[in-house]
Amino acid sequence: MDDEKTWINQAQNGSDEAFTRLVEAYQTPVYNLCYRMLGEPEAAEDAAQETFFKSYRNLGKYDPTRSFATWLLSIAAHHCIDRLRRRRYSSFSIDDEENTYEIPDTNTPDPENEITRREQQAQMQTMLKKLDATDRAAVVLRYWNDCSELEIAQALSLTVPAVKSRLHRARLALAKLWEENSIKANVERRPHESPAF
Amino acid sequence: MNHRPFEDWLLENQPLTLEQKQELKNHLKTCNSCTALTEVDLALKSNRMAAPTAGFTDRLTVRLAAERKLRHTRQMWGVALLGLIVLVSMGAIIFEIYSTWENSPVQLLVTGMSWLVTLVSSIRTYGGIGLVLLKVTARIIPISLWLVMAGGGFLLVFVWVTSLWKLSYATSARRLA
Repeated sequence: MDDEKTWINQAQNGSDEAFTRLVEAYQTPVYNLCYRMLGEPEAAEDAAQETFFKSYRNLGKYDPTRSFATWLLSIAAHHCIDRLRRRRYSSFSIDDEENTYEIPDTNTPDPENEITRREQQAQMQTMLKKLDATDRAAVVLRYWNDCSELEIAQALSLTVPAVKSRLHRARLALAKLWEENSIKANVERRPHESPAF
Repeated sequence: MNHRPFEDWLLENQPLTLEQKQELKNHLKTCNSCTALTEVDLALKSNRMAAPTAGFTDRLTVRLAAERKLRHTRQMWGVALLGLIVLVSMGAIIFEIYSTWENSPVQLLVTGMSWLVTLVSSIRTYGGIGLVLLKVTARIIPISLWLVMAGGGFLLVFVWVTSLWKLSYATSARRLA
């Protein structure tokens, strides 16, 4: 934490090396937020780069009393929301999931579980795409970045009750989609089941 | 018990008593939407971070360097353009001064006088036009409207002065803090 403050201070005074350290420390959470928001690895890379680029230009405006991570994620979330609003049709396909590198979990040696997990991830990504841009950002910040409701409110320029209500709405919408997908999956599985049925 | 309290418990993530936990467990056996809500929560919690491909920092460094170069080039062009404008202006002034040196004092006096006459006559002409317009509009616009316009003008000046005062007060307060 003290290291981070030192890097921020040095970066504000023009040290490129300190800024590089900050990029290395935050590249994964920022990229993940962009990827979950935009759904395409190329777009996520571009958005993440743009986020760091904007933060580099506005380092002087950063208030050291606030969390640097929240500030950075706020820039990324707003950038992605703007991008999604400008985008007319989302062109994400599940195939893109294969192009993204996920941090592997060394505790799961079971390949079958890994396949199920990947399928769930792909399903979740498709479901996220159906949420409103701000709701999507709130969900990603809550579940992937472990942000508190206050931090989400600060990052998305919302009030805490608004964040609560958006998270509730998003979770209910995701649950509905999940239920629909489960029903569809059960119906599709039927023909391959035991001939006794 | 109806569905609502169970959904609220799940959405609020409240700590539950043993009895409530049992009730929820029983409810989940029969309620598909609450089961879906629980499964979604589990799936969201088990999600992993997506990381950028290797070399992200290097790519950003290259981009920042390119941006810095572009900004430097723009600054250079700006300075060059400003220099050119200054040079042209100075050239024009020098040319003007040089051309008047060749004139006789009488010519200089005549030129100066003609400038002065043009200026005075222009002011008189525009003043006359303004007066005529004022007379015409005074007849067309009723007094009540004039009063409203004057009131509006006063209000605008008041808002302007107040905002300026507030702005200067806020700035000085921030400086003191």
